[in-house]
Amino acid sequence: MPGLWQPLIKISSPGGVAFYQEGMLVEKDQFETQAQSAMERGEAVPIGSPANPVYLPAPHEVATALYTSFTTPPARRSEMWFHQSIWHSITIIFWGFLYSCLLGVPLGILCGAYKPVSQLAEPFIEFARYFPAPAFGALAVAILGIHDAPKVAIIFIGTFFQMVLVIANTTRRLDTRYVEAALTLGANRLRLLWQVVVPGILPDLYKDLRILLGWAWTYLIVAELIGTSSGITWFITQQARYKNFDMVFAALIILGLIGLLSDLLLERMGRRFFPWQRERLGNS
Amino acid sequence: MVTVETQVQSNLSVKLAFRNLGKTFFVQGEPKLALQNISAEIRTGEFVSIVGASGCGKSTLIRIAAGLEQASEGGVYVENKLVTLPGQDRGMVFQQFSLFPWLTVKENVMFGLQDQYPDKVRREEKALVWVERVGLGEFVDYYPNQLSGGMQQRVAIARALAPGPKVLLMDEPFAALDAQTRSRMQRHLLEIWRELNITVVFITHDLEEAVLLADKIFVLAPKPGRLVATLPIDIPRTKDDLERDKYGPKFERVFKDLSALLADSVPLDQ
Ligand SMILES: Nc1ncnc2c1ncn2[C@@H]1O[C@H](COP(=O)(O)OP(=O)(O)O)[C@@H](O)[C@H]1O
Ligand SMILES: [Mg+2]
Repeated sequence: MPGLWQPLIKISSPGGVAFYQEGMLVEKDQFETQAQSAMERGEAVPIGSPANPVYLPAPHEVATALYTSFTTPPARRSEMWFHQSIWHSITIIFWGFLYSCLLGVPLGILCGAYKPVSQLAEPFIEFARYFPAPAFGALAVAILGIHDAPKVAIIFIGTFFQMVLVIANTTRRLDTRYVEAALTLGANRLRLLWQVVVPGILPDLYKDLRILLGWAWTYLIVAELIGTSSGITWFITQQARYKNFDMVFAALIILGLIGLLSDLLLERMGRRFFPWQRERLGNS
Repeated sequence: MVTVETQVQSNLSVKLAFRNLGKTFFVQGEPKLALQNISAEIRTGEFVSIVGASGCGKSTLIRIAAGLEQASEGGVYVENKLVTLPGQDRGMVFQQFSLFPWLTVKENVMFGLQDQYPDKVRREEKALVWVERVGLGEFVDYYPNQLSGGMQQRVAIARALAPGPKVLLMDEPFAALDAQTRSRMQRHLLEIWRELNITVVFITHDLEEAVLLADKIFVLAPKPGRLVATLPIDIPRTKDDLERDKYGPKFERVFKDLSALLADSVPLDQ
């Protein structure tokens, strides 16, 4: 649309400027300088019309990029294919979240089930959860090196503290009637924990973890930027630098799809894990 | 001869006793007297109902008997031993359905048998016997949320009885059931009671239910919860020696007496 902003010139004929190509977008100032010098050299003047930069590629371009992003070989041999980048991101998430769960789930349950544990651990965790995980980036790199370990650590830090608090709360919400029923049936502490508290909160715990896994994905972008940039974030920054915005959007869509599909899958699996939550079978 | 005598003896012996029992709750630091100086005795094999207005401390009383709550004064004695903790000598059925939703019917009943039958196969056999006994043999592998309320309470009864308690404590167990299911459950409970000769403490706010089932009724008055009357019910159990005929003239009279007692049991502090 003419008259609007349009800081760029879209080249329709490169003229005597060697590095211009048809369809290329260049800055107005630069275009004028080049046109001037071409004229002075007595060569053909480049022709172009005012245009806007393309940050928002057309849908069909993005659709094509969804395919070409996978088929385009990496610019340098040392770099990764797109699917390798995605896989790398997934492994970072997996390990970060796994460590978080291995420590956070038991600690959360203990905090929720035993008041002394909660009084000991929760003030510290309440405090620690206000540390922004990205702030640990430099520290993590200094301690763990520049490769994957600090990235896994960022995912861990980003999810662990929240996880303990959320799960402690879920544990506290367990209906006391189950605990009381178990007590009248002669359950000791260990049996209460293993046979009542843990199975009692399991479906809710699983839901909590699904939500927390979503958090892990938000920390992924930060995690992948520290040390040597990697994974899907590296791909996005790289493509943005080349102004391949169609590729950037393709990568974003892929990210969204991975998140959505994995959550859908986890939800389906949840229904298998917890058969008692199914509705009654119509048999009253 | 000797056996008959000992049986009579044990039938008359006191199974459960409340002795000068008091309970004070602290609500935001303020003491609140919930139960005051309750003394009563329940004999072996007796079916006792506790009635009273809502909020007069019925649940608190039975929870102390179960060991889920501590008395502030006095206490509950089972076979002359002071109750301090929950134990398998007392089974409890709650008003709120409290089967473990993550366990099947069979597994729910097995829960309380873990100490007596460490071997899982034996434990399963024992549980099955109890599930059959409450008439749910074909539902052993169902989860609680697949069962109706009445069925869930049957399982709850089986679960409470499986460990072999001496006393069955029931806190308004049928209050959430519809009338028809309730009357079936009442009969079912009486059958079990007869069969096991177990001592039953049955809380209800339904006076008719109390008169229908109980050998003896404790009447509680509110604010603070006090025992104001103990009413033995001497109406014959005409239906198979189980329930009473609720349309007989005697039933009517006892029911009216009881209603009057409750109407008189007004708060002390007003
Ligand atoms: N845990 C508790 N903390 C404070 N007050 C309580 C607690 N449990 C019961 N109460 C109070 O004790 C009184 C008796 O309650 P409850 O035994 O439930 O009565 P009922 O079963 O007869 O309806 C009520 O006034 C209730 O508010
Ligand atoms: Mg109550």
